[in-house]
Amino acid sequence: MSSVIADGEEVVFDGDVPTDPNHVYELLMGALSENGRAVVKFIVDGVDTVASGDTPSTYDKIEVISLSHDELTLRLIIESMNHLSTAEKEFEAYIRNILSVAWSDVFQRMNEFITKVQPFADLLDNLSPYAQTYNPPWKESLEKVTREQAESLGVILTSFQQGNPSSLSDELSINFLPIFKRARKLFSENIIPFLQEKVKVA
Amino acid sequence: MKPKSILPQNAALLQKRFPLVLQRIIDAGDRMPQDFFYEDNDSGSTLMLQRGEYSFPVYGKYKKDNLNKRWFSSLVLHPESLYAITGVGDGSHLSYFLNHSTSGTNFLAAEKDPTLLRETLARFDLTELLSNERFILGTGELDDAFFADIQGAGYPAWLMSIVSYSLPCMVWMRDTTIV
Repeated sequence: MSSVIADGEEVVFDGDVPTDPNHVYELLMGALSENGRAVVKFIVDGVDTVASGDTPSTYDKIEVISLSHDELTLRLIIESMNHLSTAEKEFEAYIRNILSVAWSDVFQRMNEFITKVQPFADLLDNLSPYAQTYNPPWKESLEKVTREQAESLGVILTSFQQGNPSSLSDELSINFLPIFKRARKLFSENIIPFLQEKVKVA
Repeated sequence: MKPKSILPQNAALLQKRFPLVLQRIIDAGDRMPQDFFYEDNDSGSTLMLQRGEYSFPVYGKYKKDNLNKRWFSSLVLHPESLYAITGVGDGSHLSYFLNHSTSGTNFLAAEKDPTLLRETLARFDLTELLSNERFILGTGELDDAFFADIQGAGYPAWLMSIVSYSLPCMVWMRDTTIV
């Protein structure tokens, strides 16, 4: 007899229990998303198929772990913020060197720089759907910082493309770094406390 | 564009302290700088760099002094040292270096292209920089004459022993450069 357990509780299906794990996943995703939750683990006979990406065609037992959108978003932000905890100092070190080392060295380290910026850009992008859906009080601030960050990244990439060290230095110092600091402040003082409160209440 | 004449006060100091620099500028004739040009208007002259299809102000579009300050603040300078700076640009970073470094900090500016140096000295009064004994200037090939001219600027022997460590000059310049 196959069984499906979601967040520690046995799932009761209307009619027969589906035999295909993919079908179970679809049904649960639909039901959970209506309640503002998302599947983060889908364990088929002991294997998390969300992580492995490989779903078998039959099963004996499925365990599903879900998180609310608030929990999921909070977790995403905290993980990203941990990754970005040293980024500010690394950006500052990079900026310091732009004008005092050969351009070829600056250019060679472009990928390294982009790799450091990417989690920040991704975080802002990933948070936009949440802000659009739930309309939190910090929505406008997030939209502003997202827009400014995107514009600044555009100038930074153009500076690399043109081989323009002064523009790169100016953009990073005058715009990008202050935007980055403002975004971190927005996260730590507004967004994270807001989500923590919502999770606590739930 | 036509070449401009060096300001007389700049020329007088070149003649006095760096005669080879002046000679190399004269020898360059009417040639114009290859990658650089000045945009002149009522608000002043802006040094531009042509890089492929793009051209942009060398010192950025914001306040030049802030860029120079940022550059200077990234340097770790020691007293009683000689620093080599590649490129004269419009001279503003050299003046900033002069005004914000201590009296024992000496520096050599080496400008590869004498015609760019001419265009700069035709637009900006750099007499404060050119007359300061902490500053030395060279242009063109980093050959024996280049260093002899520096020696002629009255630098002490200890300094020349560093400068004569010149093979390969550009590598030495890069290793010690701060631009």
